[in-house]
Formats: sequence, structure tokens, C-alpha cells
Amino acid sequence: MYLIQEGVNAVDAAYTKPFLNLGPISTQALSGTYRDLAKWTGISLDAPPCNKTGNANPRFPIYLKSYNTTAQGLVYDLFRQATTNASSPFSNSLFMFEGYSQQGVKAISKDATAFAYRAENLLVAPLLTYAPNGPGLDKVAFKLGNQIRQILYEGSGATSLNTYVNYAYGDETPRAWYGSEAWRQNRLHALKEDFDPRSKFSFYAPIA
Amino acid sequence: MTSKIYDIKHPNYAMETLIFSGDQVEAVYKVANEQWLTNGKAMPVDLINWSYWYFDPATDPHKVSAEPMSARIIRIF
Repeated sequence: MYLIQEGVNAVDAAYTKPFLNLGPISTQALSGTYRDLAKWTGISLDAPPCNKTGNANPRFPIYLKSYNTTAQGLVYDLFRQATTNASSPFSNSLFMFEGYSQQGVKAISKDATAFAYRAENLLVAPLLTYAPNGPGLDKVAFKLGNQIRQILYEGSGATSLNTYVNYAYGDETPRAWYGSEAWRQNRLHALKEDFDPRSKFSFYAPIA
Repeated sequence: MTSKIYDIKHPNYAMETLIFSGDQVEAVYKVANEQWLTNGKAMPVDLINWSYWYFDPATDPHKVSAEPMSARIIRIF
């Protein structure tokens, strides 16, 4: 678990103590500047997820408001089996949970801009890393990723699947990428018609 | 369209990494909920929390034991 704090040289004890009370296996403290953050979290330019290795790296993202601890336990078991089984092609996979300071995001009303997910707090996604081996294995990854996401979705109590478009697998719907409200979809369709009437910019996850 | 570049107010950052065994998964996220996400709580403006799960046999003392399916195998980073 990464606790990252702005404007300090050591993370406040008030932030760390509730987690330290659980008895972590180990702890490590780092101090630096915003330029160090990508390296600290394993996503700098030379980090494995940012390099072309020939691996497939599909993600199956979902926005959540809070953690359903039961669902966390269920997807943990699935992910553990998928990464630790001796014959598994997914042993290098990564499950990501991202939580940001959201107060500024929530200070703007949800109908003021195109961004639909101001009420959400967490960006969660399994990243299934594997060496491609034909459509059969792609299908196994697709099934596993969706199985994990479905558990999180059902545990969330949400009535629409809300996904981060930049992490999306690609077969989600425009409602899932950009917001399910009818007025928002209508507005986006109208803007698409205005700015891109011939649908030239529709390679990935087009809004319409 | 207008855009604006904001000056950096706080260039310095600190990070604390806590590693938990897999059997703590429900307890860890229960605390995260309590601190930031439920009962009207909000994430503090100066804080980011990420966690990663991945299989890390290199640091797992139980790697060579007879329990490869043990809940201890995956770490919560």
C-alpha cells in the first residue's frame, strides 16, 4: 500500500498509523519531489509496464465509491489463483487500486462538464500480463478479467458499469466509458456531430 | 478554449510503502474505507493512496514450502 503525501518530507503519522496498527510485513519511507513519483510507483519510462516486451496487457477497469471488503476478498482469491498456479500464463499480472484526493473534483457539479464520474473515488483495474499465444489464451484472459470486474461491480451496488476509458478493454459501451445518463449521451452525440460529422476520429472508444 | 498552467506550490512529496500479507486483504481495505471513503469521510487534499497486488516469489519466504497456494503468497504493496 502506497501512502503518498504532497508538501512534506515524511508522511504524517495520522495517515500511516491506522494501517501500521494492522501489522504490515514491512514498511519503507521515501522522500523527494513530484519528479520521483512515477519511479516510486513502478511506472517510470524504464519500468516493465511501460516497455514494449511483446506481452499483452489488457485491463478491465471499474470506478468505485468505496471498497466492498467481501468483494475484495473474492477477487483476491481469483487473482491469487491466476498469478500463482504453476502453469498460469498470468503470473506477472498486476492488480491496481488508485485513490486520489477528490475534493476539487467533487467541487464541480456533475452536469457542468463532459466528465461523468465525479462521484467515484477509486479507479480499480486488474492488468493481466501474458505472452500472446493465439485467440484461445486471449479468450481466457478476457473471461478472467470480466469475471473479476463483475464481482467488483456486483459488490458496488451501482446500477451502471462505470469504466475509465484510458484503461478500458475496448468492448465496453459508450455509456460505460462516458456516463450512462441519457442527457449526457445526447449532448455527447450532438457534440460529435458538430465536431466530427464524418466520424474520422473513431478508432478507439468513440463517444458516438 | 482556454488553458492555464498553474505554478507548483509543493514540489516535495513523501511516500510510505506498507507491505501486507494476503490474509490481511479485507482488514486493509476496511481501514481505507473508514479513513477516507465511507460515513461522510473524504480523501485529504494532500494524500494519494494506491495499492498493487502482485505475485512476488523473490521476497516470499514460503516460496519453496509445500504451500504454493497459500494466502501469504501475494503481497499487497
